Amino acid sequence: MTLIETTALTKRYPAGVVALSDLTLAVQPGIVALVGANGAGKSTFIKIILGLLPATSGTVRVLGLDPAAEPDRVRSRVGYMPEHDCLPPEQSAAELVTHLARISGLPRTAARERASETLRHVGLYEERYRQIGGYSTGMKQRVKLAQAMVHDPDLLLLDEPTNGLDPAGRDAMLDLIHRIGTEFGISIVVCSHLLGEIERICTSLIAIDGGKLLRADTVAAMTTDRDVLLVEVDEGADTLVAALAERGVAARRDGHTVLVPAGADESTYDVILDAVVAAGLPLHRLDRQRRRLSELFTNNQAPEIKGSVLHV
Amino acid sequence: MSEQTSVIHDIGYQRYSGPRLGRGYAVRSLYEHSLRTAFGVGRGMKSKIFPWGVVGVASLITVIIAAVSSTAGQRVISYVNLVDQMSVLIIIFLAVAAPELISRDLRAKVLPLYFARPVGRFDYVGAKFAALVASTWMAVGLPLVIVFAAVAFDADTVGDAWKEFTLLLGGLAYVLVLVLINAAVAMLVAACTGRRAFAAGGIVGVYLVTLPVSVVLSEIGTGAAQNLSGLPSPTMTGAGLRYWVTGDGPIDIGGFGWLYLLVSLVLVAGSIAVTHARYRRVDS
Repeated sequence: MTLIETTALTKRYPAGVVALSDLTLAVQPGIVALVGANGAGKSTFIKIILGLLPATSGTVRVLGLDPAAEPDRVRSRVGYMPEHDCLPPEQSAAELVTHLARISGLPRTAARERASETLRHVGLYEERYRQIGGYSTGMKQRVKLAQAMVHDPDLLLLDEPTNGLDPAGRDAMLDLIHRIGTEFGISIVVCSHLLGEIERICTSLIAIDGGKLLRADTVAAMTTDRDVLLVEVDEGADTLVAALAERGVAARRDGHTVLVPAGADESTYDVILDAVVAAGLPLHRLDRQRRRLSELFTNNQAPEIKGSVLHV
Repeated sequence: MSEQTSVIHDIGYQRYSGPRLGRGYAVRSLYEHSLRTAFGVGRGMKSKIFPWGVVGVASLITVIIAAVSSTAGQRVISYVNLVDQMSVLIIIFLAVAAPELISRDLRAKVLPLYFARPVGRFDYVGAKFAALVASTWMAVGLPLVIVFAAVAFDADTVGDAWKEFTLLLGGLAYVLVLVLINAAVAMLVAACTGRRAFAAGGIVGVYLVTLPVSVVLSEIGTGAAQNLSGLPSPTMTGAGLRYWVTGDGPIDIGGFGWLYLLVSLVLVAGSIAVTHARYRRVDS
């Protein structure tokens, strides 16, 4: 089933600000990264998904439901972790999460059990009986995540989940999100303005800028065909480039190393090895270099996609 | 040497397949939670001091009244007059509970967590208002029940006790009217600020400013002006309704009962509507 599907989704605020413009996409289950600079329209997109804001035009379907027409049904199957601080300091995590589970429709006993279990899954044990006001930022982020998934949603919306965390806390949070997406079987949309951070854990990616869709694709499709093989020889780099050119492979020299575009299959490796052996060169290193997603955007390699549906 | 037999099982994540109750249940849960919050149940000791302090003071006063009544063999003050004497306690309890229930959520920015669930803005305002009214009604109604208990056990016949009970119901109904009107105003004030001290001050301030206006108008006015002098004050508007029903009370409203009723309804409905409108502006 398609997770989120929009056609020509547009949101114009009364003041005339266009937050989303003609957004058409179809997101398949998995861990989806929604990236864009601050003000790109990520929060507006989330509010429309939750049925908190009506779209100006276009359609949106979440888990096959229209959030504008059936907000209650959508919200009972979606969990939302807001970006900003939203926890009452004078309550314990256990009490807050139990309360919010009941607001999501879970009966009293089930709410209490699931609250303890979910808090355990996010890594809060005995601390859950302490007042949230005394928690560290990392613990608060975990409580926010726990309240979003306490009612076992089919889709989790996480808005900047690593906000305010130190590097170790970020890694822990990303690992947790990855585990929820892979082991728990819950689909996740993670909003972030830090592409480098979430590309590690997401299966597909939606990039928006100024309310317009920049690119939407699976991470695998975005990186593999753009990978480079990095060959390092102690001497004779120019000889290698020439030898590769004879074998029909366009290589280029970059300092001590020779860069070769990685083909779709593994045959390029054999060609390189043949060339190295034939020329009798001292091979130092042969490595596959993954292109980082961010390079794809900075190099302006995003294809023109206006008006076409991209299936992620 | 005993063998270790206990094993910790990590059963992993369990999907939830139990019932998911609807919006009505969600609103009821929010109401119950708010009612507990008003009395500081499930919170630290600090949250219990003020609400239970008000209940304690009210009970102390009425225990004295009950004791005196019991000794004298009859009630020394009618239930409705007792309510009028305790109207300031209603305000104090509201000034404690309304900021706790409403301003606190604004301050902590909890609302997005609610609105991302099957609870709408109107549901939220309705549940909070209901909890505010119920908690205040219980806190201020309890003293009346204490007086009733003292007098009814002293009654000679079942008929006397039953008559006493109907009078008690009248008193409790009057408390409810006063609470409804004042709670609506208190909720509106509390929804304007996330700072509890400001909200509490505002609620007491509205009472302290409007009541003297009403009293002064009643002193200097004559005829219709005097009859209408209760309208500037929510508490005196409620007292006017008492006069309309019982023909007695701290204010003589003449034939303007319907106007007092209209003002009361507008006050309650208007406060709820404005509070609801206010929440549409809260970022979710």
